[in-house]
Amino acid sequence: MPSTAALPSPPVPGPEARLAFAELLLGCEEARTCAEAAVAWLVHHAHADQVLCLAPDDSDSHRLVPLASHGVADADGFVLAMHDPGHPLVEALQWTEPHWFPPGQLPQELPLATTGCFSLSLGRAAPGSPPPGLLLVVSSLPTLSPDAAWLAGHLGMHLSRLFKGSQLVRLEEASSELAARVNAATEELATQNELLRRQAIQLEQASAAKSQFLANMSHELRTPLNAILGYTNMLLQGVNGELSKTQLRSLSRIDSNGRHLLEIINEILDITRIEAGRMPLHLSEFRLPELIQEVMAELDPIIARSKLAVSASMEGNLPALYCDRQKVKQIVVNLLSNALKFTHEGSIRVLASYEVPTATFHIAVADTGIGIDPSHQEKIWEDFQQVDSSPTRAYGGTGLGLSICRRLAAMLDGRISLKSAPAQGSTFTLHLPRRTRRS
Amino acid sequence: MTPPARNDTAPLVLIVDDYQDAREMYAEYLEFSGFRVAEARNGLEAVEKAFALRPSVILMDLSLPVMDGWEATRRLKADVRTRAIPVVALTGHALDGHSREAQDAGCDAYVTKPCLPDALVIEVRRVLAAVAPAA
Repeated sequence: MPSTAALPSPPVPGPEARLAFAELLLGCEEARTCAEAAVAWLVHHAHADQVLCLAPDDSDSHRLVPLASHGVADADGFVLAMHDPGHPLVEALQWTEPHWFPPGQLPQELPLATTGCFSLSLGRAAPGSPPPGLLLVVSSLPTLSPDAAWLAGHLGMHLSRLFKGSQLVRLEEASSELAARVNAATEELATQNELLRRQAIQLEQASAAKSQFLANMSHELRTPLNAILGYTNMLLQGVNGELSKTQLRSLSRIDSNGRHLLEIINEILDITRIEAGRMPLHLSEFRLPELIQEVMAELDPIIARSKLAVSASMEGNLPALYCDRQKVKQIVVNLLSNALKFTHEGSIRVLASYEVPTATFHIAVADTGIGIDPSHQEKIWEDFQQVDSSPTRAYGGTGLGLSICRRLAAMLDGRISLKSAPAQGSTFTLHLPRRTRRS
Repeated sequence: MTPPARNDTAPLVLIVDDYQDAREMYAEYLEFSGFRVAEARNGLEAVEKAFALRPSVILMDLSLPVMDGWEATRRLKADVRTRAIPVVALTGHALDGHSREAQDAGCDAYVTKPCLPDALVIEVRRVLAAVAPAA
């Protein structure tokens, strides 16, 4: 219970009593002490017999709980939940003037309901804050002293201020906790970054070692292959004398298998060179029709064996192209070889065109072959991947051809697009700018 | 097929390679194609034989023991006696840099292994025709 010794004692309140109360509140940082002082003041100066002061719960701003009381039994367990807008006391929070609740008007379970009481709002809620609180006063007098209303307003302002202050403290605590967590997270992140950086360096070194290994392996493989292909070539030419038909056939098979092995080694080496950034561009100006004729001539043995109708057509007036001729040829040879490999009947058309507005060349290789399911159309561009990469696949090859083509096209500032559906054939198109920039 | 008759006026080709099978293979085919052939197993031997024999063309492997092909080519190109002899670089290293370094060392042509013997002979004839169009 409050000590009333410090309060002014004259039974009739006056400006001095108000001033004393205001001064008391100024020096008080404790909501409960303020409320107790207010209750005592009402008992001493406003003829209050029973007083109950309700204020927001510290932990939960959605309910009001007793903060101080005088002459009220069982006040402590009382809770006023503010989510019920129809509750008479919740309504009473909105009223600026004291309101008299006659006995029986308030629900029976409320304190002071049986005697009847005045309600005094401590003020309206500011946006984002709970209302400051409510005073319930029982007085022997028929009206409440105007000092009571003044006191309620004054107490309300002070409690609001204290509540905001404690909110601020809590906010500061939360903020510093957050800062600590951010610091911890930042530290953790820095550690992770360092770890990642080290791993990246290790990966880079491993990748460089792999490229060097593949380059060395390729050299080691090419040295004996050079002798195998060379001696086979000499024998086939009859350098060591005439050969029988069966000997020639066997040698031809050694020759074609040796060349195939060389192609595979070259493809692996190409990937290695591109990955290691050691694939230089040799840019020059050249024309597409001649290049496509060369491609057709190079693949003529395979075309002749295929029984497919293979044709090439060029749009008239194709301008000259400034690009790496050998690489463009390599891409077209690869696309046409693929078309020949995956087409069993029908035709293959090579079509070269130039789009003036975008200054782009399109070299399309359209076949009537087995086609590619849309779900596989991403996979075919990856290293060592074919639509069917299983050991029992029907089509041989390293699965590096398209991956190399895609990388080469990108090096030439171009790209390769694909239109295909199963059993509908495929059209691979190489798109190239008129001039490749030297990167 | 009968190899054409060899004579002392046929162009002499110095073939430099440390890998015996490749060296002898090219030598055999060059002789079959009507050239005279000398062999060297490393860069130092190549330089010595070039000074002694004055070949018409040198086929130079680049990765060689004792003295590599680049160094041997630089020495040959720095000497008035051998400066005019065309050097064809021959390498199994396909990584970029080798061809440019070969060019910087003074090589006149560059061939990547595997190189079939007939293709090498075509290259030798091309280089010889370029240095002596009248021959």
